[in-house]
Amino acid sequence: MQKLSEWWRKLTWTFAPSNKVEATKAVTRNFILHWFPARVTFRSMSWSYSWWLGTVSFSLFLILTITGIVLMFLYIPSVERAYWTIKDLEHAVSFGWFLRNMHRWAAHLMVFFVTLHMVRVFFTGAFKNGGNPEASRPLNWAVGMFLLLFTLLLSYTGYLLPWDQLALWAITIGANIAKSVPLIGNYLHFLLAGGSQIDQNTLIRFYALHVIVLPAIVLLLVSYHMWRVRRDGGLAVSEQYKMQAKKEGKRLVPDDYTTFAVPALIRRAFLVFLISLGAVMLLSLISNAPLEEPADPSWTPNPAKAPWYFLWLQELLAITTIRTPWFTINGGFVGGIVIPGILFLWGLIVPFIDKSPDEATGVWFHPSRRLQNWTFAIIMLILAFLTIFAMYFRGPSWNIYWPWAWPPVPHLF
Amino acid sequence: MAENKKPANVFEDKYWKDSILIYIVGIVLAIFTGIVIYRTANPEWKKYQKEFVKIAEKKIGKEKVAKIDLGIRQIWNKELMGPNTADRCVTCHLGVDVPGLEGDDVPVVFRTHPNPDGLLDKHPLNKFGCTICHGGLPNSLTVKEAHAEHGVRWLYPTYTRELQKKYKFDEDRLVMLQINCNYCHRFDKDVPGMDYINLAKDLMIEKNCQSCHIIDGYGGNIGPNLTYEGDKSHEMFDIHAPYYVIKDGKPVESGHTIAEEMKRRGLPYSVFSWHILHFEEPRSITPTSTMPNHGFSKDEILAMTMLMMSWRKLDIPSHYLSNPGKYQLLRLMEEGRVKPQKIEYVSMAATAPETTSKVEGQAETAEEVQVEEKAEKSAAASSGGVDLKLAEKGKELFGTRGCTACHTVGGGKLVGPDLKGVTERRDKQWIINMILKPDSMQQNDPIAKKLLEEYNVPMPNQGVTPEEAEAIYEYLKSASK
Amino acid sequence: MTRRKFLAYLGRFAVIFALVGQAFAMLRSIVPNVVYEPPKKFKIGYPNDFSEGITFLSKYRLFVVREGNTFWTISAICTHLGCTVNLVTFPKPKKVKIGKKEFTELWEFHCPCHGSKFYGEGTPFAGPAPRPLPYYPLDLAPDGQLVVDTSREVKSDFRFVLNV
Repeated sequence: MQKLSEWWRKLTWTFAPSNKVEATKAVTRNFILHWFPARVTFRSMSWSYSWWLGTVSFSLFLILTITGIVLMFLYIPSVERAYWTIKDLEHAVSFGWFLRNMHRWAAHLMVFFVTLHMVRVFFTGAFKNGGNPEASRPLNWAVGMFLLLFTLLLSYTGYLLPWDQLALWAITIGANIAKSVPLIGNYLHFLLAGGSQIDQNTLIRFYALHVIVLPAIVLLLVSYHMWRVRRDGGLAVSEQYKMQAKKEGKRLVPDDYTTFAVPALIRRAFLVFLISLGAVMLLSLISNAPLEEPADPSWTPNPAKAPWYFLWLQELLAITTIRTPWFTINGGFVGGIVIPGILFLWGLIVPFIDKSPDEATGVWFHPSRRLQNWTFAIIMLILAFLTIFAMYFRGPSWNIYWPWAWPPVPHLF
Repeated sequence: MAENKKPANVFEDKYWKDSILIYIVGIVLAIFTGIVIYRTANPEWKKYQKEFVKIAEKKIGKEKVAKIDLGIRQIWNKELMGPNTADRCVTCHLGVDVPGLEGDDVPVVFRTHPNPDGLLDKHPLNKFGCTICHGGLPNSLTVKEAHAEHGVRWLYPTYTRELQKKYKFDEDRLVMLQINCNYCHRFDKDVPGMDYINLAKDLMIEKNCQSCHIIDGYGGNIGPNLTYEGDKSHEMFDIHAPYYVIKDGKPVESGHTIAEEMKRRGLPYSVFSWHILHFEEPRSITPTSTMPNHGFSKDEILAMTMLMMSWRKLDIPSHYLSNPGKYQLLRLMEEGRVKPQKIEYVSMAATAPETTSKVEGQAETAEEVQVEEKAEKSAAASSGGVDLKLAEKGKELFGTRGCTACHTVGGGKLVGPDLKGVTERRDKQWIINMILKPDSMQQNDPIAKKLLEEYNVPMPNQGVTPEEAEAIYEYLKSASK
Repeated sequence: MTRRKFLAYLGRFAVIFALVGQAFAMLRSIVPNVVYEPPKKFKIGYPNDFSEGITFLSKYRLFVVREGNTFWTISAICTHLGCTVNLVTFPKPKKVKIGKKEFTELWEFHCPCHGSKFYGEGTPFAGPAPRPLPYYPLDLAPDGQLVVDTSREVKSDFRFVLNV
């Protein structure tokens, strides 16, 4: 018995250090833990500062990867078989319904939480360096913007795979947005679709993107994103300690403002992972992933709506066709490429044009950043409004109806 | 060294509460995991299988029931259904191929399939599966999905008695599935067991729908091409257009929409309902329609609607089709490799081939069955100056050349005037001209022009030959008596 | 046991149960419950479709032997690692001794993958094949066709005799 507990201790001491020496060594002696710094500041541990949204996003990515790998054994990316493999998942595969629901819900939540994470970082000015000459957090913000883009792309390539009506028409529209780019549009469409029509060639292309290319890119970027946090000296809010110490002319003693990452950080991160898992499980238990009719190019569902995170885009596409007596510009180009492009570019340069003082680093709604925060908030609110409007107020033929007064669309029988 | 200070090496675990939270969240997760495992271990179908075993053991005994495999059961037929689809109806419908479970004391779901001799032997389960005839969503294992009930995204629900009730079928047996019979029996008529479709086809031939509509690749172009009407998407039917009522012979806006009319009658919002309303009175849907109101009865309307829904272009392997050559002919006409021609339906009445094998027969190749056309006996006696034989021919032509689409003889006005006694009203040459070149007549002849104004529907040129026109005139003369 | 300790044990157990449960769900889901495969019992044609002697049915990887009105089937799947064996017929009958018994055989089976050789009766005599080629039961379907059941094996003396 003594031997057993000795052996157990030898195996697990890095996860549960019993003194300061062990706590410091833990992150260098354990492969999984080498990810973390030795110490972490109290403020960055705070729930109410960051809401741990980054950890939530990563947890969801982890859930998606694991469920995704299992799903790869059960799904066939062929236009004759894809829909039916999804149907089999729902009925004939043990835990298939659960797997599918988990994957779907984690995907939706990931888009939501990555966005929320971005909003948090903006409102706390955490893309600023706070006077730290060695940090370059604006770069990490830009990496984050790309992560948001790739998250959306992962979602987009993912919901083509069931090859149902939603998939077919979403991809048709998306590819046609690509087509609306001047000069190279047709060629872009050809590359995206793998041909001139949305068919098996498109499906296998999006499958490859979804299961390996995009996840690999995201994994690489996420790794870099998290490494940069360490390299920049921790979460931005940690700069506040240095600024305060400078002001008060005090020296910083580690024990005053930091604790050991093991067990504090990893335990809380594990807790956040469990909570994320719990949320996805709960949603998977109470709500099933939808599936429309098998893909049929001869008719389009009415109304044909994108998933919620693209509804703002769909609304823009519908209302931004510019008609002048001399020319017409397709809303697909304006609302699908120009406006999102401008938003993305603006997002990328935002930290470089933010001239607020260092004191605003890592502080929620710092008064010196009132203009930036309001601008950002209004843009987010507009996008949210467009989303809700498109979801509830746009009915058949994209006409406007009260949400309770959508006219019925006939079935066959 | 230290007095009552703790050793410098020990660190304070400020976040010990996180451990508690982990335990609590862990318990919640464990409960969720338990629910997931329970749900997976107790799918809906297991309940039905347990019930079946109980009922069946009582009726046919434990020994026979023990031979029935439980678990997920499926019928997989790659060529008919596709490589990744299977009919799993038999997971719950365990009694279909078990003799001895007929009768009202067995719930419908567990009953032996009716008509094993005559129907099932010609359509064995392992070759056809279930959904090709009954409709529904293959691969599914819950009642709601398998029957594709309202809310499930699948276009072709199972034809249940509930569905039939919605359309006010006056039937206890399942008849709506005759729609699917017609997928393979499209070019047959008088098929045993397809009474509604048979009726519809007879009506189609009698009323000569092909004079205005292309059906089976051939026909007129006054109305739309109905060859694959059943494939027309539900999105193409605008049920929010106004519904018209006929007042004094003219269509008048009722003030409400087609959808509202469906609601008033308790009919579902569907293409099926649309056809019902349309057959009842075409101008109630399209006020400018020239399609006559044939005065169909309720059952006739249901039958014709079923026929419409059955006309689909499907990828059924040819050895499943009855009269595959005719399907091939239709395809060739569509591709333009054969000129459009009328495809005759082949009667299956009283010439249905006998089968010696009753079980697991391979699908039989359809045999062309020759049918004698029965010549109608003309009414007895002589009549002054009427060539009876020519009149006989004319009567036939009156039907096949499309006249019955718009005219009756003694049956009242339809689209055009009742032609009874027309040979007394107009002279022969005028009538012959109207038959041969109605388009020119309606442009230049004053009487024809006035008639056009009165009836408001142009009479189409049916391409009748002079000899045929003579025969038709003779018939009209004979019918005037 | 204090309340705290109880919660600790219960909590740890719960977390482990939850995570192991997830892992179990993932792994169990890739064990197929249904397969899209042709049935193991199938018809191979009418008796008179088969000539006297041995016929190879490539679709089913099966040899069907006919001697007058007696039929039997031998699998063509090598018992070593599953390649399809080749039929080797002799111009003159060959006498072989299997165990104590003597057989006169007109053909043999040779496997192209690793050189296993089987007597016409199925017993391996050369190469790595560990056991004889299996025989499958034959029966007559109600429509008169021969039915093979490859879900079970029978002994090498199995013969199906047609009662004419």
